[in-house]
Amino acid sequence: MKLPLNTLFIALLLVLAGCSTTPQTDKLLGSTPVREPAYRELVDVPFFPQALYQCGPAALATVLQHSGIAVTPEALVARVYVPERQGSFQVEMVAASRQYERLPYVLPPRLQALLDAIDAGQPVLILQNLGLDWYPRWHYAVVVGYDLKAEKLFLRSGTTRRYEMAMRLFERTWRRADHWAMVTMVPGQIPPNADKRRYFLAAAAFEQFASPAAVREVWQRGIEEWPGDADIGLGFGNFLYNQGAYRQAEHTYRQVIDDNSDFAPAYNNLAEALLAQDRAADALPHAARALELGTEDTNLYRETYRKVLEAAQ
Amino acid sequence: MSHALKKRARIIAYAMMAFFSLATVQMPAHAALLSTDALVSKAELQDQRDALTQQLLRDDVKKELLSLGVDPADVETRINSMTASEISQVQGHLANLPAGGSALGTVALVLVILILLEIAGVIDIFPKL
Repeated sequence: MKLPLNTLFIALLLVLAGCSTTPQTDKLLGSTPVREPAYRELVDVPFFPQALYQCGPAALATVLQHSGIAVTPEALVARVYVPERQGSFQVEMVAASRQYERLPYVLPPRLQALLDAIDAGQPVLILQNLGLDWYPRWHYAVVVGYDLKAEKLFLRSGTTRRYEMAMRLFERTWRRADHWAMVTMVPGQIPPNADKRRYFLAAAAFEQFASPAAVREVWQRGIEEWPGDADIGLGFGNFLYNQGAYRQAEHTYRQVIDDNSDFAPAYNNLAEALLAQDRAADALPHAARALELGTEDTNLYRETYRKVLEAAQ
Repeated sequence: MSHALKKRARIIAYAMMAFFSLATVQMPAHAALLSTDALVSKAELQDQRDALTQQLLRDDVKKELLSLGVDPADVETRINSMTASEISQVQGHLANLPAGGSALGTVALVLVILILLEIAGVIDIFPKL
């Protein structure tokens, strides 16, 4: 009896490879009508061939330079490279972007989101596992274009300026890295397909490290995009308050209340902003309202109320 | 109240006013604002850690980075550029977290398997194949 070698070989491959379907590519390529445009490429995105193991600094320099920051991979080595791991961590890629006053925004884990970002003119920094789950080869690259007809993506990768990669292969390698992708936005620009919760978290983290001028742009743009959002509104108000712009903070908190009439934190912070302007009598009803509405943070509201009451007398 | 006592009370009051007004100018964070950080914790459904725990976590991550060969001259900047939630996400995991670098160092058997997988279009370790 002859051994079914072919079958064995394929079975072996499947076991080694684990699950390797490509649902996202299938969906994208199979959709009717076909997605428009079918081809897009950001040819102006710069390229830095990576030095040994240092695709992290190279990829980060690529997206930062594209967003107008003159930084070299060499300068980023000290910020993101980890010698004993011969690589760079995602968290440090994010943190380093903030240090250069760019808003790092992690995209939703969808191929569609990558293409939308390209359409919006944003190169996308991605993490891939070029190896396998049991033999990982982690690699950063920058997606700069796509061609749906040819079923390809174009990347700045390793030492290749325009690396053409089959979409299905890309999806497999990207999926093994949990579909991680990020864009670095100029403050005041909204990421493509932005989600308000993600944006809020990115802005709040950005605020801790960037200059006040850049932070103001980020909050301001967020509030324009999502005028009624309580978190973003409060975030912007708090930023203004911490800058000593109490009047502007007051105005912002009032807007938040207009759209979210039962949002206790906004009443509390409005009371504080009024108090900071020596308007304790005006602050009192708002402090009372916060206390009345609040279910969490009640100690804070009680404290504000006590302070306002004392100042009003 | 005697005149002298009144005067003393007034001096104390002035001193306290001066102290508190100074305190407000220098430390606006002491106001009872519901902070953006608190909102972040809510948004992330994460319990807020106190400052001490935070510092311990930060020290841990710093040690981990140093043990992984990061230059002591850079480590402080790197630690301080991460948010509280980023620190707690990576703390204790740096040895195993993905570190994008893409180097190929491998043994013969694995190499054979990898070449087969490469040809089958499952992996992409050898870009020139």
